[in-house]
Amino acid sequence: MKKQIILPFLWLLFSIALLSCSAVKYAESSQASNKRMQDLTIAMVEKSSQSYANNALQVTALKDSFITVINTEKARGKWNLPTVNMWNQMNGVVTDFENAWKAQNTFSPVFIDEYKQRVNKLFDYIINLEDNKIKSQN
Amino acid sequence: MPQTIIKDILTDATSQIAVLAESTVSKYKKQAVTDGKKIVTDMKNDLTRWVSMLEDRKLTTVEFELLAKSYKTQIVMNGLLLAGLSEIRATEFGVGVLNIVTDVALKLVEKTAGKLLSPTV
Repeated sequence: MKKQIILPFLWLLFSIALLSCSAVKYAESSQASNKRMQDLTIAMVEKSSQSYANNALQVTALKDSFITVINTEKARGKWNLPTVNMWNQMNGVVTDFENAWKAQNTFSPVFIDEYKQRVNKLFDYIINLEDNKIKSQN
Repeated sequence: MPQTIIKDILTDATSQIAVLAESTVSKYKKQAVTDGKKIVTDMKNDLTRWVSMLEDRKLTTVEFELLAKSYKTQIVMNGLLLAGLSEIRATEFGVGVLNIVTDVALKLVEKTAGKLLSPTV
């Protein structure tokens, strides 16, 4: 009878210990980077009422920042793959936006307002995912 | 006018979602159709506004497609947030649903309002 109670309890303890070793911990620096990238991406969308040619350098710089963030998130280990994949998705969003901007040259103010809301919504997923990671207790 | 076209888009898209469910996830067809309808319902407000802007030529086709595509990314993000194997299939189906909605909306608006501002990239 005792064994029937103790064994599942030990198994539960073992699972919790394993989970806490393997799960990705919340990183203040990553969350700050997420919010900074959100602001930079929104700033890029706001600039798209102007011609692409005038902003090409800033777009390239932003895309380079995306690659840096993706590499930083990859370095946090394999358990961080959902975050890495989310960043890859956002990188795709920026690439699609850049291609359309190049093709169309400028975007309408109506579109810019709508798209900013969508970009914010997508970044919220990355921010929420980071927020839900294990926070160390002080 | 936008309400009429939205009704047509939703009716047309819903019938195509059933066909997509039959051909991709036939075992879970009923659940998939329910999920697909939920995706369409969730984006209904945005879709109504964007279709209206498209009809009024405040949005180009390219801009409309970028907005619609952001919903596809949202479905993938949501799948990643839930992060289960079963979610991958649900995500693929969800992206298929969004493709249907975008295509149906563009075709119906084009039919109703005539040629749009610019070609698709």
